[in-house]
Amino acid sequence: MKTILVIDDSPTIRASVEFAVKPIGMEVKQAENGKKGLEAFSSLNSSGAELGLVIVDVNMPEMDGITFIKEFRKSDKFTPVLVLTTESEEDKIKEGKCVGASGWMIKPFKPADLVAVVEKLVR
Amino acid sequence: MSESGIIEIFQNEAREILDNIENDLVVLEETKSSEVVNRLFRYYHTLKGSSGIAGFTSISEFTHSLESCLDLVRSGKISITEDLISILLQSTDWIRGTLFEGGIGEKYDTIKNDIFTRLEVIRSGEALPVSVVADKIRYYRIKAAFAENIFEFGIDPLIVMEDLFESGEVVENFVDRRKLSMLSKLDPEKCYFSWRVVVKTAKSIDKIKEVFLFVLDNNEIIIEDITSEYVENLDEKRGEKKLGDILVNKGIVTERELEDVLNEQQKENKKIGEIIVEKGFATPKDLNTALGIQDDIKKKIESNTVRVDTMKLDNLMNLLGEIVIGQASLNRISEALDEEQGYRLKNALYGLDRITREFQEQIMSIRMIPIGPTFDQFKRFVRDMSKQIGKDIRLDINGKDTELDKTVIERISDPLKHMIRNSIDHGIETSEERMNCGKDSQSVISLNAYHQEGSVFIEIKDDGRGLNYEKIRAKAIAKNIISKDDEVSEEKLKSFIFLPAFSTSDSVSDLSGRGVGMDVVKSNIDALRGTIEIDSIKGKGTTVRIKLPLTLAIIDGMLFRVGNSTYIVPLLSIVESIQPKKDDVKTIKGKGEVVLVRGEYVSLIRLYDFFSTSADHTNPWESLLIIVETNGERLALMIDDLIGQQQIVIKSLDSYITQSSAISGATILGDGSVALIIDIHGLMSGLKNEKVIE
Amino acid sequence: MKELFFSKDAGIKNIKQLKNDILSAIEEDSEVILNLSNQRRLDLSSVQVICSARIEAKQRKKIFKVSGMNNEIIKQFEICGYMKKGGEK
Repeated sequence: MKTILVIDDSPTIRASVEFAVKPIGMEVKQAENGKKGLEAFSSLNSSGAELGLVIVDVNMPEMDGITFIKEFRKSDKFTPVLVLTTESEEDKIKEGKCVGASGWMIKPFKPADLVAVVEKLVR
Repeated sequence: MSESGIIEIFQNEAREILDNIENDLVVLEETKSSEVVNRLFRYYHTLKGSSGIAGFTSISEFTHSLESCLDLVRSGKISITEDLISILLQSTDWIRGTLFEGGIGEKYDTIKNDIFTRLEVIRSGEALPVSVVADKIRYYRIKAAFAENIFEFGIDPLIVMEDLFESGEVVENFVDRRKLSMLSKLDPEKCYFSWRVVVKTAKSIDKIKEVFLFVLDNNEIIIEDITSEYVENLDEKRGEKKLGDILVNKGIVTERELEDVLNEQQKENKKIGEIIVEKGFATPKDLNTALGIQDDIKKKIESNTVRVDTMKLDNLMNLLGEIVIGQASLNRISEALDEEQGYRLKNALYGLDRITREFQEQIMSIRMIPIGPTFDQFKRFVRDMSKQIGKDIRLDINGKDTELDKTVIERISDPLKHMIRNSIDHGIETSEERMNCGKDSQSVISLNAYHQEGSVFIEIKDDGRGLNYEKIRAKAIAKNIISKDDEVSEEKLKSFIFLPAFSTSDSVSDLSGRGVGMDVVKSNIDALRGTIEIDSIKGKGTTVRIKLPLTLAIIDGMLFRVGNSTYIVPLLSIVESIQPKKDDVKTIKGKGEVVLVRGEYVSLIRLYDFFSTSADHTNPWESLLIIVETNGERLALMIDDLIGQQQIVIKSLDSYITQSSAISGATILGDGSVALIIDIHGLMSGLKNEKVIE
Repeated sequence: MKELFFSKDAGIKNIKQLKNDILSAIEEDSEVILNLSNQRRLDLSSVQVICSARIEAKQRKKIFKVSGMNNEIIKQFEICGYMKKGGEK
């Protein structure tokens, strides 16, 4: 069983991600900002869960998505990180790309689209 | 013109059209080019018309429905699928059958109905939206060399490539895997593959770039629009360029304006004429004049060729032979004249000789036709064969323009086909085997023709498994050609392939291994006075190289005398001439008379005996022997005297004059006497048959 | 002959293990078959390792084959230039 870590300050987004990927057999771990995300990541690690994908929002209180990716990549090189943005924010995508994001997705998304992306990315 | 005359003419025309159709169908499957569709449409149209006139109403009706089907393809209402191509190919078979084999009866009706039903399915099936017009299709070339550390960004380049493959139809896919090392030395966390892909799609270049959005910066991704390179309508393109030139030449448009227009055209994909008028560089009237000129040029090119019956060419060649003979007799006369007159005649003859040679070259060049169509006919053959046995094979054709004597071309087709079949059947591995040895799953057979040193070379090359020398060795041992302990070089092993009934294939498949083997190929090539050699690297592939003379009508021959008769042997087959010692001539049981030549016993042929004439000497050690060779076997021909070498124009003998396979033709000498040309190959096989009878 | 199953996902995270598993299998046996029937997809790193294993096996005059590929994996091999449509093994 693979776990997807969803980091977004919007509970709706987190819930809809969970709703979308549960049917394809993914565990979902939620966190509401970058900092909480890092904590969730280390607790996942120590519990021995297999992290398959990180989905992270850009604009969040306490720690934004870009900073999160920077920190995250220090201890995990290979797990794909998907950046969620509200519209096609070119500069944010570029920034995320530089620090180690693997792809991006624009909110709002259709559950089916998310599933398709997740199925490809999760390793 | 009689009715049978019309039918014959139509049959010839139809044969040509059907050949063209088959070629184009195969091309169409690969390229999906609209130009080819148009051409095919025209072929069916012509065929429909001519068959109606020639009284083949069934063919006319049949082609009518094919034509209307092509029309649907042309308008984009049905798409070009493998299925469609197969049906169309099958329909050419039907037409052929009807045309040349009578084609009446249930079998043909069943096939016809089957074709119609399948066509109907295609027609009613996928009706593509008409909006997908071919014009908007673009070709992009994408070079993607990913950064070595791309995996560390959580990016899998394979996903990116998958997205790219989904963005359109991939026309070319080349994967560079050279950086990959063997597993024990591999750092598996790095990226080694890079791609060069051509995608055909209606999407904009931005959409393609989007696929690479996340890998663009630290990787080497180059995306180019190469539609113009891939443009189907090449002829029209060329024509349009000419149109621009004409306008510049006429002073209507300046060169700079033309450049402007050409740039514009790249962007807008309009006709040049339209843009020129739009921009006000020329009036529509000017344009029409220029178009008229362009048309004239085209027509001129078309009407510059004349069809000539090959019989006439052969006659011309014969007549030329007579001229050469006439010259030779004049030369003899000049010898008999007194010094001054003889000198003057010789001088005049010298000039005549030069002109005759040039004349000869010109006639030869008319007989020369390009090998292209012969090569092209294998496209379908390879396609069908490879589909049948489930191998993925591409046929690569080079040197289409290489010209050969018409007779050679006619006779080379079957041997080539046999060797291609060999490649497909034995040489090329299955996709799985290829994958396992790190080869591209698609294999390539390439045909190549070129001129070198006054000969024509034809190569058939495959990238298959190469010759299996161990297997050949085992077979040779089993056939008692060599013994178990013999050290035999690969070179020698290769030559065994050409021995009669020597085949290494394990099973008799549908394709090859039925009767004809490489020995037949070899004797066909021999008959054309050519040679054949094989290069093979295990695991890399096999190259068969055929060397052929430019022409069959003229040979370099050696003239010699036996008694009162003169004979000719092709210079190529002569190894040496010797005067044997008495002790070297022996009679061996089962082999007949032999002579020891350089430590090897060679069969001795008393030519005066063979041709039932007389000779100056009947003892071999008093006469001369010429050693000739063919297929690696030698013969000693017993003759009286060598006369000299000469270019010989061969005249074929009617079969009632000679039934002997030892004589390949005759020529008339300068003094008017006839000399027979000895066919060494025929002579040798004739002797073998005799021995069998004994 | 040894048939090798890779229990984890064939992907970048486990690629070192995949490499080592294949390598030791090739060392032990003259013929190794990697059965991919438990894999849904591959990533580029695993395709590279499989390709590299072929080179390794060939140099050691051994056999390395792949079996049990689903359509998606066959397509992935195609993209990497290994198989054409129709995708026989």
